[in-house]
Amino acid sequence: MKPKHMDTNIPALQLDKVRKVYGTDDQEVVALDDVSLTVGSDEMMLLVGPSGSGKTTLLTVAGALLRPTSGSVRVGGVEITDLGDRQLAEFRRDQVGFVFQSVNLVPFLTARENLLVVRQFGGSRIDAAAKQRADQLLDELGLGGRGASLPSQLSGGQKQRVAIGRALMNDPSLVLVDEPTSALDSELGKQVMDLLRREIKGRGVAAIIVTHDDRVLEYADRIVRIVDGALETAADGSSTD
Amino acid sequence: MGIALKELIRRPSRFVSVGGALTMLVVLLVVLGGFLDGLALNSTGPYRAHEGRLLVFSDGSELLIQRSKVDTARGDQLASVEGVAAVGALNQIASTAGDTVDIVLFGYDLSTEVIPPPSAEGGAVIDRALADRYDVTEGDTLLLRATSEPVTVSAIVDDLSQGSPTVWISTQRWREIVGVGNPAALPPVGTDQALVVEPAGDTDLATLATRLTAIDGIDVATSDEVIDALPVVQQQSSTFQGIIGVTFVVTLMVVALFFTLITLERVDLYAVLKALGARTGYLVAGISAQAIGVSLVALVLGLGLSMAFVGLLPAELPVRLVPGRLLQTGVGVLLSALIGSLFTLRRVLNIDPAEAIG
Repeated sequence: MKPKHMDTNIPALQLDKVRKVYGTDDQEVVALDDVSLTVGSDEMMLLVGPSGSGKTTLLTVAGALLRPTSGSVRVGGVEITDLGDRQLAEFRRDQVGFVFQSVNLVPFLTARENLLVVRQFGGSRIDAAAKQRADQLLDELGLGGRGASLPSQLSGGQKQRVAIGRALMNDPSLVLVDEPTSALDSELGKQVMDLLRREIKGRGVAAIIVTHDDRVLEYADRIVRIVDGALETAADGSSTD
Repeated sequence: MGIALKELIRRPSRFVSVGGALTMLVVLLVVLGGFLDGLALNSTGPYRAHEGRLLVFSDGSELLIQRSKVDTARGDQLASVEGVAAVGALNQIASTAGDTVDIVLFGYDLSTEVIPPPSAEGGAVIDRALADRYDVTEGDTLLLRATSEPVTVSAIVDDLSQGSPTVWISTQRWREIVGVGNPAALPPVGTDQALVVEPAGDTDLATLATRLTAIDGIDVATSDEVIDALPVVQQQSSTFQGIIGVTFVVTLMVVALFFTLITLERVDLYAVLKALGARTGYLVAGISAQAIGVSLVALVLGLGLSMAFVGLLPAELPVRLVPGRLLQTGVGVLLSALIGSLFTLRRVLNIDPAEAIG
């Protein structure tokens, strides 16, 4: 299934001279330094870099969680820097999928309900179509029999898969994944990355995956390195923009 | 809101502390309300028995029967006003002497929907509280001090107490007994303490009261107005209302404190939900739904416990659980819970969805 609004000619993400500065005057810290980046509509990009280099800040800016100090951020062709808090919340709900480092499933909801919850935020009724989609996603993620399980009844890998399903539930145009393998062993990490790649590429969705894990680099269409808030040319020579 | 209710159902142990505190507060509110109503009702039976009638006192008596003295001639004047069906006398005297049973002795002319007509043979209508407490039945003879005037019980009627049980006899017999036992307390001939006006047919009571007020030298009031003017009712009401009001504030603070603390615990979860697109209003509505849900459970438990507790109290204690008061308590608790839960608004508003990452 293609994302609901996707036009393959429109990049999933365009950052233009994005600058993010924390603090003021002499306490100023530049987290993003004139970052320009384009992610194609079905591109799977890995963002690597040392701790404190600005990976997380870039992810939060791209995900409409943080407004940049200056510059332009367009997701699916929509300029989001001028949106208000309410509009940003709606935008995140409809256009962006998140897979958090610590998974962060709602502990008292079942796997299926964790997928459906993003529909509720928009005030939508959980209709048969939504339930069918959640069940279908769980099936595709190999969790067909675990829809009624609470997160505490799932393994680490299964939780990660539920989180991926939640990110895809609303057919986003951009999926942002934060350290997906950091808490998993090699085998589980490989399974999760295989699954991510399959789901992302199979749906024609763009993804930015932040990682420290060298083992997952092979899954990327492109690798972008960030150091001290600035992007560098990737090891394979591809441009960062 | 759906998420919040699922948490309430699936993790009830998280809410045991606030639910327990609210249940105890509900018990306190119900019992306090029960005492307030019990004291008020036990002090006002004779006036409530005159609902649908107008009571007439002398000007300046502040609607207090013991201070009032109305010329009998006023009765004829009142009877001639359009909309008046009948006018009758109402007198009372309290008896608290020695080791006798304390009663309030009423002399009256007109029956009401509660009190049967006065007995021509000198019989007495008595309050059921007197009958229950001293095992008095119809046909028994009471000796009214200080001269041990005998009266025969002709009827027993519920809910006529005025602090003490009351005994009702005809005005003529009342004058005879008071004249013998306590002549100083007897209103002079040609006067009564108060008059009762019975409206004709469908006459509107307020309209009739306006007409009667035009007559000089009298104050006209409904039974509710007379009850509100009673000093004992005013004092009890203001004292208990004050305590009940403070208890509602404590209820609000308990809910506010609990849900503020639980919001601090949930900062990470709320950041994630906000990152996924949940708005502050959605999250606060969920907190309010939980507060209302816990309060509803506390109301049911608290009401049950209160009824059991009141059932264990000695019958002499004036506690009455009145449906209107219970409803008021329920609405008050729910409103306090709702307002208390809204204290979390600022904290939820300040949760940054960016905290979900990193």
